[in-house]
Amino acid sequence: MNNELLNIASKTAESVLDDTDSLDILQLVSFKLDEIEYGIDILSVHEILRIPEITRLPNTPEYIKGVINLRGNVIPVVDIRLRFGMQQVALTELSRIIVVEIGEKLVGLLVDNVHQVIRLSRSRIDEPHDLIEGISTEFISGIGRLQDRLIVILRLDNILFSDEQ
Amino acid sequence: MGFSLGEYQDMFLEEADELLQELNQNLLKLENDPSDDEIINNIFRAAHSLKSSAAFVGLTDLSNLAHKMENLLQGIRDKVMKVTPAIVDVLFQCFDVINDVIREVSSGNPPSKDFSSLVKKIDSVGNQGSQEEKKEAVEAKETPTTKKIQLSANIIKDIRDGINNGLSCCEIAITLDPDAAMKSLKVQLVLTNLEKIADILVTIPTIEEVSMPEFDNRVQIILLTNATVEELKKACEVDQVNRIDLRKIELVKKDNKVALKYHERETLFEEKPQTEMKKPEIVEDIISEEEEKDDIIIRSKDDKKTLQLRTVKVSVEKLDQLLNNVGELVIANSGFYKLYEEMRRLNIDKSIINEFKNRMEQMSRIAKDLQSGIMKTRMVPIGQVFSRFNRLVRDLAKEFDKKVVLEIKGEETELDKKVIDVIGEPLMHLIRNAVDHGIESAEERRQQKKPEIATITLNAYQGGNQIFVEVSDDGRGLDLKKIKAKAIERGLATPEMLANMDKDEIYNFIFTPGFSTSDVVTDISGRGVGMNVVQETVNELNGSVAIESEPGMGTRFILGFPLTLAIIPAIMVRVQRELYAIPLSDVIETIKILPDEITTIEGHEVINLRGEILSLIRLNNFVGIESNLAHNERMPVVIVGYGNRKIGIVVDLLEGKQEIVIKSLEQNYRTVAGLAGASILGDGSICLILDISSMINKVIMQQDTFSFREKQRVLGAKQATVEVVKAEATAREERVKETIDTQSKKEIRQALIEKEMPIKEDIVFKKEPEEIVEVEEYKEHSKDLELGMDDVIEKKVQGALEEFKTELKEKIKTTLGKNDEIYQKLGISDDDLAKVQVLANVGITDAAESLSKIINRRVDLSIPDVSVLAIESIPQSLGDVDSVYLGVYMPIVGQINGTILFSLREDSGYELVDMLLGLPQGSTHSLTEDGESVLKEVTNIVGSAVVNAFADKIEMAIKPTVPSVVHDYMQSILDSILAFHTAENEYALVMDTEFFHQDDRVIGKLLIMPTTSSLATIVERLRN
Repeated sequence: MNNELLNIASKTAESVLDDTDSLDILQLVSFKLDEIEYGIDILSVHEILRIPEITRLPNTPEYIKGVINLRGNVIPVVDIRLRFGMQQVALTELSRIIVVEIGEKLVGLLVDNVHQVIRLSRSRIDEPHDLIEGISTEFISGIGRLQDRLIVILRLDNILFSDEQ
Repeated sequence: MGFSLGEYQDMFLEEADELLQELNQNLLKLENDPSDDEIINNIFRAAHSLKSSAAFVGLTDLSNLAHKMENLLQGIRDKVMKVTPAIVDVLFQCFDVINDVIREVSSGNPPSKDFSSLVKKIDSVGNQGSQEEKKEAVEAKETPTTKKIQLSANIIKDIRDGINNGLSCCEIAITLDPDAAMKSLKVQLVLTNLEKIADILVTIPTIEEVSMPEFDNRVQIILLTNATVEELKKACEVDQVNRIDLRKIELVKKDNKVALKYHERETLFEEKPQTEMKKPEIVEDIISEEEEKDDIIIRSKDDKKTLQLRTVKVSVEKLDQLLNNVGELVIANSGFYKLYEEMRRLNIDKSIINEFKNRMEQMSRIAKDLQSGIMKTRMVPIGQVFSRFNRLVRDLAKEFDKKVVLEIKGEETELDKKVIDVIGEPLMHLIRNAVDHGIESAEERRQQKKPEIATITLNAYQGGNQIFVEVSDDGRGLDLKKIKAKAIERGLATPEMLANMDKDEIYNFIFTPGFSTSDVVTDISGRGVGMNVVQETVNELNGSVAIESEPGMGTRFILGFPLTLAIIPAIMVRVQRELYAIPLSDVIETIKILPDEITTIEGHEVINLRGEILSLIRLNNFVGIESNLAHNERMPVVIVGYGNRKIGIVVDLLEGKQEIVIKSLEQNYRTVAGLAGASILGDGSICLILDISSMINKVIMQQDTFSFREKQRVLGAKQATVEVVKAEATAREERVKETIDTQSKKEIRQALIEKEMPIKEDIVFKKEPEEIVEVEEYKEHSKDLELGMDDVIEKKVQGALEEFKTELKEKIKTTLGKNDEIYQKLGISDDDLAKVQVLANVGITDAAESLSKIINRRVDLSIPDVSVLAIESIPQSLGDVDSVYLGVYMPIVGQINGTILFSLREDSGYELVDMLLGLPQGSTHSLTEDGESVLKEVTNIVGSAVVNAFADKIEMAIKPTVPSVVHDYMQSILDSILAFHTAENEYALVMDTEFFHQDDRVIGKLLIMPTTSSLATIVERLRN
């Protein structure tokens, strides 16, 4: 786990510890896109990076932003906004790449920001429903309720490849 | 992994694998030579080792099976049983079962095989129960005493013979200084000395074993000699030999048995007393007469074990990791060069810079050494892969009832472990195909007078930066017709496309998934999967496949692999700021071209590179960005080749050569079209590696659809042989389209259909005897051509000249009037014209070849005279101003511009049409579409050939374009040409052209009307 992640973890004093059984707790790395908060299971997060040089990968879908060099590993970067069918935005100081493990593969997810680490009881997670605007349910594993917030918990299996591939 | 045998599993599996291979090989040998004791022994040993190691890891069943095998073999060893086919079969079955078990275990599954039936089988074949038990007991007793030196029966016999012949036998023991360097050398020295005066029978340990760490500094040598003890001692006195012992050996007869009696040891020489010297033991080896035949192995040492101690087995993953790291090191090192450049720029203290440079270079050297060292550790001899196929070929041959032997060559050639690991499958498919389809039945082979036993050869060798692995058979060869038919049937190509393809391209169809020419799908092959696997595997390894095949002679598949797989040299290119790498192994050359040198065929850009059509691919288009190149800038083009195909890749910038480490994109993503992988550069940035083979395939698909005319437009006829194939193809294309079914066309079509094969091969003529004579001449003639001797052609030209010179000169002289004026004005001499004439005749000979092949009848062409005329005098000089002419004109472009005009009087034109279509003279009375296309084709062939002959000679690119026919008065024909070209043509090179077929002769004129400046260029170039 790198510094970036630790920072976020320590910043997360506000994270909600409502249940005690740690087995029942899901920790999520969360990020916000257009005011909607998304969470990725921290167990699949490898590390979080500031934006390095991204090499464009021709002949791939538009949402494949390119490949980066992760300590000698060549890993693809998915532009989450494009993948979810949202408008592309310019990179900012807050832009990050969340490197996740999907099966045996390491994949970078380009996000606008990394918000915080959330602890959430599994009992507070609902089945995905169609309420989330614009995002296909194929990317959603559930909806977490946290006080007044809703967190869209992502399912990463389909993030790299489209069905037709 | 589910099932495991514990910590020794890997060791066991590896050892088992080796043992199985050994077992397999020996079983095959045994089948061929059941009487060879050595083979039995080897099998026995393998079974024995397997028994112990299986027991060690707890595979009791397997161990028992091996034990049974061992018993069976013991029986054979003891000569109480004979090797029968049944026994060999059972042994093979055991091998299969053991193999299965090993596979199961290595894939993490518990062994599921039930051996009981097999064990029963062994018992029933063996059926020597009591005998076995007894022997087993002997075996058990022997094992612990293997240190004892046993002499084989052969050696004992030698000793006996030697002694009977009056030689004396003795054992010399030399003891080396334990600190001696190069012990094996010392021992060798002693042996060499002894060899001069004695026959050495045995050396224990062997000279190889001396270099092993467990060598105890003592060597025993048994020899026959008539030298004195003193001589022997002298021979052994080598530096650092501490002690020499000698004891005599005699034969004694005791209780009807012959025994060797060792005498007391006598120390001949001792440098200093050795502590702890082994007490010499006096051993009597008693060998009974009946046991004498037995081949008792000298088991003083188990060489297998000692070898293992000297090697370390390392997992491939570890090696890969290491190689990866070294790759990074090499790359990181290249970063220093940049730093060095920077330092020089910054004007830092010279001495520091120099020191830096020295260190940097040193490090780079070390990194390179390290890299090549690790690379070498990954290299494995291919023999182990090859030897597996002995069994496959045996089984397949039995199954198909064919007689096949597998010949293995180059087994010591080393390939990267990665290649070794995966090459088995493609080779298997190739071998299966060879046995199933390639090789004929014994009956068929007999009929064809081929050796009944077919040979499949596996060969491996290194050539340049590549390793080649070949599978060849001496079977029936690939059936081009079948492949073509199948390609059409499967919609992979149209007949037109096929007609434009050469052999290699057509062979390549067999790699298409699901492509099978086999009428019968067997268990083994015919489903069309195999060849696709071959291609895919080879592609994955950056390799290539080539096919050579001769009907009736056999087929050869040549797989080529890069020497090393992980680090490759590459050419770095840029499009805008993006950097791409092209593996150097794919690069043929790099050139720069001007934008206006690019021609477009059906929307695809091509250039004429030294007479070859080369499709271009713009890298910026390929990767989907704009090019940075200015409009009229010279464009760098990387010419790349894959197999026998080439294309040019247009890039913005050539960056230079660099070593790169290939990283797969699949590891974290997937394969991307057109990319072979990625590489991380010295500065940490990523550069993508282009997959040249897929790029070429994409382009070639398009290129194959180019029509001949289009190609011709770009290219003109360059190489006669190639040209002919294409010309023929077009002729066919055109004619097939036509519907009028005249006799002549039938004939032509027939001729064309008969000649499916490319022109290089002998053409089958199915004509009457008289014509066969012509064929003979024709072959001879083409042989002459093949020899490429200019003087042969010239002679021919001269001969033709002599015959017609007088007559035609006369005629031309009168029509020409005074030419000298023109010649003077242009600065052309008669010599120049003579040169032109010779050249033109060289070209026209090629044209005659082409024409003859197309119409399948011998047509001779000759240019008896060449002159230069002013354009305005042409109608007059050609003869009849009031006659209608047939003119076919063809603009030429390139470094020489102008027009070719082939003109005939109307009636001559019809005669020519008759001649070429094979109609009786006088059949044609008007210009039909048929006739027109014949005339165009003739002009195309003749004009192109002549122009090419010139282009070759003066080394300029000249391309003829599409011919058009004009049917008019000469003046009008010329006018239409001149209108086309403005008034730049002042003069024409007029060549009288004669067509001969049997007794018919048609005279036409071939006019080359270069622009005035072009004419001057031609003449000037010719002079140089």
